[in-house]
Amino acid sequence: MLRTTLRSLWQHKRRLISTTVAVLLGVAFMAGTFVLGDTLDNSIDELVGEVTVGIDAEVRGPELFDSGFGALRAPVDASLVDTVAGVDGVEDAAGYVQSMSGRILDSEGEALGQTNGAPTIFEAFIPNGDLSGYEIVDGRGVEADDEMVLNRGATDDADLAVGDQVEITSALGRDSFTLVGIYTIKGRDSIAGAVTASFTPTVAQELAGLPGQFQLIYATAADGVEQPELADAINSVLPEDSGGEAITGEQSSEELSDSFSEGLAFFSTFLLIFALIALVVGSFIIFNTFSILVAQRGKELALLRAIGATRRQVLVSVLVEAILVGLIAAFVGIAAGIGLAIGLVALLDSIGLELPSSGVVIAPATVVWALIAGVGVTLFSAMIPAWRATRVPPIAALRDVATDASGTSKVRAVIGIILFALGLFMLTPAFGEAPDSAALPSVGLGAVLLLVALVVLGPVIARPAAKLFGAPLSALRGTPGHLARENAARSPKRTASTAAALMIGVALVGFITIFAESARASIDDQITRGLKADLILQSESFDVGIPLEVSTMIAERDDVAGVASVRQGLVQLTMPDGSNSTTFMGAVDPEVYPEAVEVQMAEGSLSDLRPGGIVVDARQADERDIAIGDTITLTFPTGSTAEVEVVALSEDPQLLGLYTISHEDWSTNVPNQTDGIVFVSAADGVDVEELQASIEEAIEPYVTVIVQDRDEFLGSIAAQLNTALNVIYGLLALSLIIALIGIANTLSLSIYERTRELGLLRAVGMTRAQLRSSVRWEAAIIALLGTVLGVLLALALSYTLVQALGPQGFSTYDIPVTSLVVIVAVFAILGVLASVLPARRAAKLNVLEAIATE
Amino acid sequence: MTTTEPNTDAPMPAPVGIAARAVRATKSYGSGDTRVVALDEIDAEFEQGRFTAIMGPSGSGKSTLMHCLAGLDTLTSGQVFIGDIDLSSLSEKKLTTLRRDKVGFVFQAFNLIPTLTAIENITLPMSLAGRKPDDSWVDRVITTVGLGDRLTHRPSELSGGQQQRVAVSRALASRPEIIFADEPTGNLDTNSGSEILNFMRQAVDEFAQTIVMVTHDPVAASYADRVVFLVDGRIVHDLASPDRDAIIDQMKHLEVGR
Ligand SMILES: Nc1ncnc2c1ncn2[C@@H]1O[C@H](COP(=O)(O)OP(=O)(O)OP(=O)(O)O)[C@@H](O)[C@H]1O
Ligand SMILES: [Mg+2]
Repeated sequence: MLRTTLRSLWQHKRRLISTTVAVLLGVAFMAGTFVLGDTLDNSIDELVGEVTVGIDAEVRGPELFDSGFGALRAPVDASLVDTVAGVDGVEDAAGYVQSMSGRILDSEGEALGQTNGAPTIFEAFIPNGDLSGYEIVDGRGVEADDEMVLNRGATDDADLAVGDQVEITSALGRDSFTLVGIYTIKGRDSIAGAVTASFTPTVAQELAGLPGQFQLIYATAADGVEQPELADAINSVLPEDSGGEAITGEQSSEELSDSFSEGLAFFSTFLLIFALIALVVGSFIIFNTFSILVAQRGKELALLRAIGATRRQVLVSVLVEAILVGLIAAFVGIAAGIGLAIGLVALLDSIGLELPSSGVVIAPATVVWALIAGVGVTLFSAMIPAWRATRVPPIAALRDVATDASGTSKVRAVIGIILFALGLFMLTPAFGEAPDSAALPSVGLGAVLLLVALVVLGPVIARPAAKLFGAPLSALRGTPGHLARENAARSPKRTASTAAALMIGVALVGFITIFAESARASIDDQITRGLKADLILQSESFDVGIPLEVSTMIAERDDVAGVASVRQGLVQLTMPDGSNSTTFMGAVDPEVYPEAVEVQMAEGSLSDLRPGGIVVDARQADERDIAIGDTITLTFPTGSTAEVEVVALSEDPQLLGLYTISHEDWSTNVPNQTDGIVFVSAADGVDVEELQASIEEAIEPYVTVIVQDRDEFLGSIAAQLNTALNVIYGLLALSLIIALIGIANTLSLSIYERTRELGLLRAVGMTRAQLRSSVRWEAAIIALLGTVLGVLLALALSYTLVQALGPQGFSTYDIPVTSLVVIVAVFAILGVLASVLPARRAAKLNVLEAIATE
Repeated sequence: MTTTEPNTDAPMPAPVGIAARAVRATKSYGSGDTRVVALDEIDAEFEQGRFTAIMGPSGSGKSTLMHCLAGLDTLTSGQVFIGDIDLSSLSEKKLTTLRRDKVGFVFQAFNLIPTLTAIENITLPMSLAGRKPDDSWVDRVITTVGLGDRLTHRPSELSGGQQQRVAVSRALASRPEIIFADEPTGNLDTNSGSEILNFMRQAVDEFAQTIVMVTHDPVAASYADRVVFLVDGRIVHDLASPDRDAIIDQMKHLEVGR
């Protein structure tokens, strides 16, 4: 029996290639994600290990709150460095402080480094190379406050040399330093591409807004002192009130790489979602292939049964075939995934994220998961076809095996409709009076149910739908068109599962397209409604703010009527009920803000905001049970805390953040504050375009600040959304490619099955061109079916989600008609392209052999 | 060729020309030791408006001859003509359109496209050509063949006999210069078979259709105006106005000769 299986596999090898590819791609994506994640993880471990190798102990302040990217800790007093240095067993100690709030200018006066690329870090210079891991390769270390040293990668990129005056922009504005030295880090030019600029501790503290304080103190041990001993010794002398603690260098380095790994894990999970989608789409193709193969082998299987093969043997023979396909797919997929990961690492390298390349890491878990996915998906998808194979009665050996034309079974229709209704029902919470976030899980489940319902109903609707879409073909394309339509409607199950694979991909693409468009339109709407200012200043890098002197300078201009700004940063809020929430919070000046932005309020007024007060978004207030008069405790990254009273509730999340305090409170608690966004209103009679040009010139020294008028501002928001959209399109592309392979696959199998019929058509005078066109149109109908169903699903689900998110600022449901038309057209065309090879094969059929085929 | 004993009462249209012709037609498969000669320098002519049967033992080259004459297969050497057209000079595309416009086919089985209705199958060659069928002619064919009420049925809803009638109608509907039928009654019972044969006979007599039919059945062959006997790829006998007994005689003769 095994021999028969292997032989059949061998005979169908051509037909199984595209099936294998369909699984393989998903497995490759998954394996690639794992390999990339492990490799990056390993590189980071290695890098962190190397750089921190000289540190035997680290002293740090108490944890303030979890920022979401690791714990945020309070700084420690600078005087603690001497205390630590005096501890028995400590050889040397140095304070360290860093900030990422500025940029270095290169010799041309341009900001160094890519926007949102590797960061620029301002830090305290540590003369002891054992502690810093730095080695001065040119010049000397920093000795005076007007001096700096830079990593060699940065000086190479910026074309700077020892002795040059280097300009920087920071929260404090523009400044200039003499470059006195260039260093490498353990022989590397940079740490993963970052620009690291070191200053005297005093300057670094100022830049970080932590005068007289350090974030960390590093210590080396004297000869013969072990790390734990050292940490214990330091801990015993740390003053109680400092709240600080000493840990070993080993632990510090572990925690550091762990915090990076966490970020990576998030990224990997994001990619894995798309790998899973690809696998699900692939499973439809496998299901289809095995169904068709079993149907085509019906006679052979019946013969086997007739001569005494048991049902189990038949089942096993089909499943073994599936396992072999899955194994091949898994192994080739792993290889392809490794290739993919190598390519991505090279890509990261080329965009400046240089990592130590100790080779790709292929963890056993990667191989295991890839095997589970490859074999699992294939086996699972082949289950039903295999079971069906066992139902072939021996008597079928004597009959003509017809293609499975069934589809509209009553049971299927009933189950499908029940699932569909259930799915719709789950969506209803989105349409309530004021849907809250509790509606989302239900909506999500509803979406999945609708998808499943459509898959179940597919065979029921495939025939009428194919006839409908094909109707114009019959009229316009003559016999080839007519045959295409009939063939697409011929075996509804086959058409349906081929279309379903495409439907899933298109539904996702359509969904995010509509959703993003609605988000854009909603933001657009609200901003257009509330934004009164003429010009908007922003920093092009998220981490670098706008120095306060910029808004002061602009406010002084005669051609400016008013300036309002929002300062923002990470803050932990302790709610009245004791729960904590870490969020980006804003601060405005209630006197001038309404002149620039008209904020809709639910309760109270923005002018109620005074020092000691806070304005809370009404929806947040509702969910967290916050009322006017309640007290919220704020914890700032510097460690300072403030109690504020809720004075008003806003309902305009796009124009005012979820939580907003006054500039005064912000200044008290956040040193080195910067503006996140500055609104400028032109004075009466001033031409906005001229004002923009003039301000652009004035802010030239602040290289990261950009000025936009209202249209540009809205445009940049749309551009950001588009970037996100393009990333997701890119990740979904694989699933869509798999779906298209599915179309090609189904057509090839169908054509094989119709050999005789095609031979007859050719005999009675169908030309090759007509035959090709017929196959192409059949593909177009299947593609159109999948695409149209996908778009319908996308419309329904995006509409529901926008309704559910209405209170969170989704005011507009906007259907990007052009985009949707493009999607439908593109996939219909791609479907046709997918049919090129099968169509060619069909046209090349030898007429005589085809007629003679049994 | 002379006809001494017309076997129908209908007036015989005078032969005006040759519908198909083979000149030293040779077809061989393989080479060396395994070489099989299916057609061995055959010379044959098939007159317009006549019904010719081809007979011979299995493997004698009947189907091969037919396929080559019909432009479905190519010769190893020699020539075949449909009317004045030398098929060996035609491109694959021209051959296809020639089959579509000038040749009709009836095979032993699997004659119809399962996704098309009977009437769609009948008019298939014309719709492939993008031509409007001649409705009155098609009506006449359908009436003659007796398919009136089954026209919108699919092949799977028709009996074997009905399916062959549709196939014959298709062959007739486009008024081809010649119809080739390879054992058209081979899968049918005697009654259905004789119906089909009657239609073909009628088509020749009433519409002056040219038909070449391959058959193993002496009764079927007796409907023809002429029977050509093939053995080992060669024409060994040519019988005019045959009746059943003469054919059986000839067949016995061939058996003995082998
Ligand atoms: N594709 C092919 N390859 C090799 N030999 C072939 C091929 N087709 C036909 N033949 C050989 O050519 C010879 C004639 O075959 P053909 O099909 O014409 O016979 P036939 O007279 O129609 O027989 P039957 O009455 O059984 O249909 C046979 O010996 C056959 O084996
Ligand atoms: Mg034959």
